[in-house]
Amino acid sequence: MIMALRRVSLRHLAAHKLRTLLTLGGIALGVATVVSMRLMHESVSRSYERTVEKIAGKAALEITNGEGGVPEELLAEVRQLPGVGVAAASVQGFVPLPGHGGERLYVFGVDLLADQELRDYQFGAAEAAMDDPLVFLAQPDSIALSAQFLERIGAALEDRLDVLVSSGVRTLTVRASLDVRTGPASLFGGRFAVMDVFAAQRLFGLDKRFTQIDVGLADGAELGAVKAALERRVGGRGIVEEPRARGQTLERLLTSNRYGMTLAAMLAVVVGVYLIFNTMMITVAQREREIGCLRALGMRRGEVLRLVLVEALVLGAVGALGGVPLGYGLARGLSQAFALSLGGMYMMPVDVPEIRLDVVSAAAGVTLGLVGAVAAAIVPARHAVSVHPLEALRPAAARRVPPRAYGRAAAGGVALIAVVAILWMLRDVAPLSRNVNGSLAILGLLIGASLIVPAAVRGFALRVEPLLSRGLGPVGSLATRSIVDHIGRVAITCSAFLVSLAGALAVATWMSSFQRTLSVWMDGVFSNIDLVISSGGRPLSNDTTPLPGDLVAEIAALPEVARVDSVRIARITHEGVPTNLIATDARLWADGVRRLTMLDGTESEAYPRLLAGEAVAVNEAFCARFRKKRGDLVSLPTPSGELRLPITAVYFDPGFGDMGIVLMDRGLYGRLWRDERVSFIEPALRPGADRELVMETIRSRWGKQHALFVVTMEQFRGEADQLLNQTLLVAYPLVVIAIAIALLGVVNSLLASVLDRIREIGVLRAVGATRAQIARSIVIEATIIGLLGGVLAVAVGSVLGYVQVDVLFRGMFGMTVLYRYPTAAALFSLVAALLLAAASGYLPGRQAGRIEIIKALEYE
Amino acid sequence: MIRLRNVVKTYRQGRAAVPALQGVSLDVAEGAFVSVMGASGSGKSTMLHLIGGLDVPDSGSISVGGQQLGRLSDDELTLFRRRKIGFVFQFFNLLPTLTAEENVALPLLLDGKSLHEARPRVESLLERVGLGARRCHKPDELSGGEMQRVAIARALVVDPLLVLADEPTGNLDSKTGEEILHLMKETAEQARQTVVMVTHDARAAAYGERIVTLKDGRVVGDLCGEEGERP
Ligand SMILES: Nc1ncnc2c1ncn2[C@@H]1O[C@H](COP(=O)(O)OP(=O)(O)OP(=O)(O)O)[C@@H](O)[C@H]1O
Ligand SMILES: [Mg+2]
Repeated sequence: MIMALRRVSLRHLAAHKLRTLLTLGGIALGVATVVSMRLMHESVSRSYERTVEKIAGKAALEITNGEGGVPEELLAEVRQLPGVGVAAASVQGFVPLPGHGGERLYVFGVDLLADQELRDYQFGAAEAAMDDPLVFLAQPDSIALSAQFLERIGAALEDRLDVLVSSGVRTLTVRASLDVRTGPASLFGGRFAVMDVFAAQRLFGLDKRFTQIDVGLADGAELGAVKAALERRVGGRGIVEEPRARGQTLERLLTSNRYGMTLAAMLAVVVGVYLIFNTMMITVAQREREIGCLRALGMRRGEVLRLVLVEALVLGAVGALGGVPLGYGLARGLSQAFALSLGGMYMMPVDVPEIRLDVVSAAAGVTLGLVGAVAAAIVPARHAVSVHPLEALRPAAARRVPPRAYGRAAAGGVALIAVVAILWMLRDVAPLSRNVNGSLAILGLLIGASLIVPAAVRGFALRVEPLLSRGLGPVGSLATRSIVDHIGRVAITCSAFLVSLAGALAVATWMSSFQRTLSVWMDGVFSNIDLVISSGGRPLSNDTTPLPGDLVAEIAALPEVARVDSVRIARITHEGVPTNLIATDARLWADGVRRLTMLDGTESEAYPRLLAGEAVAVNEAFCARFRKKRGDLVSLPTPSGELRLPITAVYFDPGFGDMGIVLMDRGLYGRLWRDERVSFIEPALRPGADRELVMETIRSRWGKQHALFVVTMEQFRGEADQLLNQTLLVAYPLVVIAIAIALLGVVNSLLASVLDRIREIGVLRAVGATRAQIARSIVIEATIIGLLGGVLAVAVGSVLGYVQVDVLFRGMFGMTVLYRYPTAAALFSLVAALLLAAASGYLPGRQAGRIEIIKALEYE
Repeated sequence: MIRLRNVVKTYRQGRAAVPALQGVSLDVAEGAFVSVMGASGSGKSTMLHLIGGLDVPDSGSISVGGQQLGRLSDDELTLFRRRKIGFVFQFFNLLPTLTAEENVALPLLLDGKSLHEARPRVESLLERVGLGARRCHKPDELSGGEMQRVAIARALVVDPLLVLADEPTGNLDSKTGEEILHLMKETAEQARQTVVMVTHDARAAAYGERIVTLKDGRVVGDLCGEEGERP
């Protein structure tokens, strides 16, 4: 057995180096995609968990409440509870550094005296100030910076450092340095600063509030009991959680993102498996004679089966071994962009992830390669076993599949598509969940289309043959005959091409629809305003610095300003999941100046209730995430205790993707959260006012103090569009990989075609076909495959895109998405399919032209 | 018509060199029917392939119909094969996907003629080889003898200067073989074509007016005229 394998299989693989290489490349790409997706998700989640853990130090429990924080008086109450050993408050957040373009610093305000028990700070050795923490604390502008960061910005002790906060630009003094090797100071690449908690409170404008209270247990205290006691004491003023659980919030947020990525990765795998299947099928078909010989010489069926399967396993293993490092490299290359886009999307302090190849991911990749290869080899193996010893020794032409079989397969495919289509049309009444139904539809569509492909290929080739032979002579008709005679092989290639291209088109639909949806939404959000004023790193980035509420009135008082809208966007936690709170002036709705697009509920009922502070509105993503509907109660912890209000309306707001949004009046928010600050000030100007002039006035009067961004509404929209495109950028490598795999399939199939026809090519050359004629015939074959694959892919991809948008958005994210057909992408893929397929025929064509005629004539 | 001078051809197999032809010189007059004999491995097929421009010699010169083959590029050599040479192989070497008619027409089609233009010539040739009724059959629907007739018709379709046949009867029973040889000789005489035929079979060789014998890549015998018949 081993001998037979070594002799027969390995020699075969070695003899067809290029094709073997292509197959391995295909498997490797499939495996790499899956591994890199996994690694990126794992590492981003892990990096966030590590962040939370390091900040938590030895704390067993944490009390938090999003951006709003927890009331100061809670600290004393918590310290008195039995079972609590140590309780320390902190104030945390990113601050932009106006003097160091784009740099941000994570400021950690702690009670240095109490906090050392929980967290590990290593201060630089020679600092006089830290010999006596009281000296450090006595001066409220003291800050300790990581040594690494000090070095990077070229600062020394006693230097001054400007930071941007709500009240404007503030100047701090560096009075100590931190060793970054341990403790939280090692986070964010050293962009970490420690200061006194009360100084930080003032800095961040957190009036009598802390960001977080960390609790360490007393000796012998039981976690569950202490947690329960804390929860009772905290009431509606915050959330009590173990740091580990908090570390998983990002993980929880990522589920739908992961689903989307998994879908894309699955696509790559399907194509990869197709490719293996393709190769094994060709290998077996090509070696039917060889297998027949072995069978005639006494090899048993089981042995033939094992031969083929072991060969597949070897291919799978080698491909996977190449794919795992490739995926690792891919993940490393993409991780920075991925972390930034996720951090931005969910507004979480995500550190730049460190990609580490873990055993599980590597094993998953290898398993995938092996299982995929074996699964792909099952049909070819059965085929090989069914080869009759005598039959195999007869010439190839004598063993053609009757065309009726293709017709039957096509009928099955049509029936399958019809069934899933009906199921899908009945999706609102069918006893299946939307996701299951949608996944069935996608799967059924792909399989059904693949079943139709053989008949389509045959019909198409036969139909174009007269045309081609008239236009191109025997070269044209030889290409179509070759297709008709090897329908199986061509159909597999065509299907692989179809699946990957259709997948790419579906992703394009997804992006296109998402863009359209956001664009429609922004049209609503930015109607009737002229300027957008914000502060922080960049408008729209996750480190927007809230502006003081007074500024709203001051800007409204400008003579050219007709009206000012103000929006507070705060990150809160609902049922442990980060959620956005948007607080804005409800009077503008009630007065009909601004409007919400209602999906459930009416404007006339909702606006008065929102204005009265009796209710909130939520977006669809909120309903989907927390299984809520109009009329349900929403319960939110606030610094003033728990808030319970009914949902009066569900409105259209995809502005935060799949994150939930709770919308309320700014007056209500200000009262309960003790927060009068705003994130955006949006003035509308009087008719005839000069925009540029007003912008200049605002900039000169308040710009420097608050580091304002004053932009026109159009500029702001442009920025938003750009940000969106960046977020979607992560999807492009997937599309490229899918198409690359499909092209590998075409090249692979054509090389096999050349081998299949080597004798034929030899005869043609002998009776007077030039090299160019031979090459042209191969390129024509490739073009036909590309044309057919492309047309079918656009057809299937269009449907797939529509279904996927429905499944992904409505089913997973619970969002209304306005479908938009990606016309440009569809046209592009059609043209690209043709051109790329034709180009991929070039290499095999050249190879075919170069064969040695005599050897080819003697080839068996 | 054919002129070989000191033709040497050595095949390389890994490190070993297999000498196939070791200095063959030969002249064949126009219109001659020459049989080539010799033991297996003596270089008969190699010589035929070189004359037909399917391969090039390591040294020595070959001219066919006044044309020095060594001076031709690959494309010129291809056109030379297409227009001047007709091949008949032991294993027929028809294209399985084409009908008898299309197989015969192939050299004309490759030369840019349409099937429509080629048809009269193809049909008359198929009639001549006795397959007028089998025009539309594919090779796997024909017997061995019929396939070889199709191959002969294909070799003759361009009205070549030279017909090269490598064991054309090697795969046929003796009766069919005789018929095929008869056909070849007759058509060649009618069209005044030169024929070089490789064979193992002395009875087949006797159809030639001259018998060249090869041994270890060298010409060791050359029998002409009446004495060549039925030795
Ligand atoms: N492609 C090749 N590679 C290596 N050696 C070759 C090749 N073709 C032929 N030979 C060798 O060259 C020598 C002559 O071969 P050739 O085919 O001309 O013999 P032949 O006289 O036609 O034999 P047969 O009667 O068996 O057909 C043989 O020793 C053969 O092994
Ligand atoms: Mg021979």
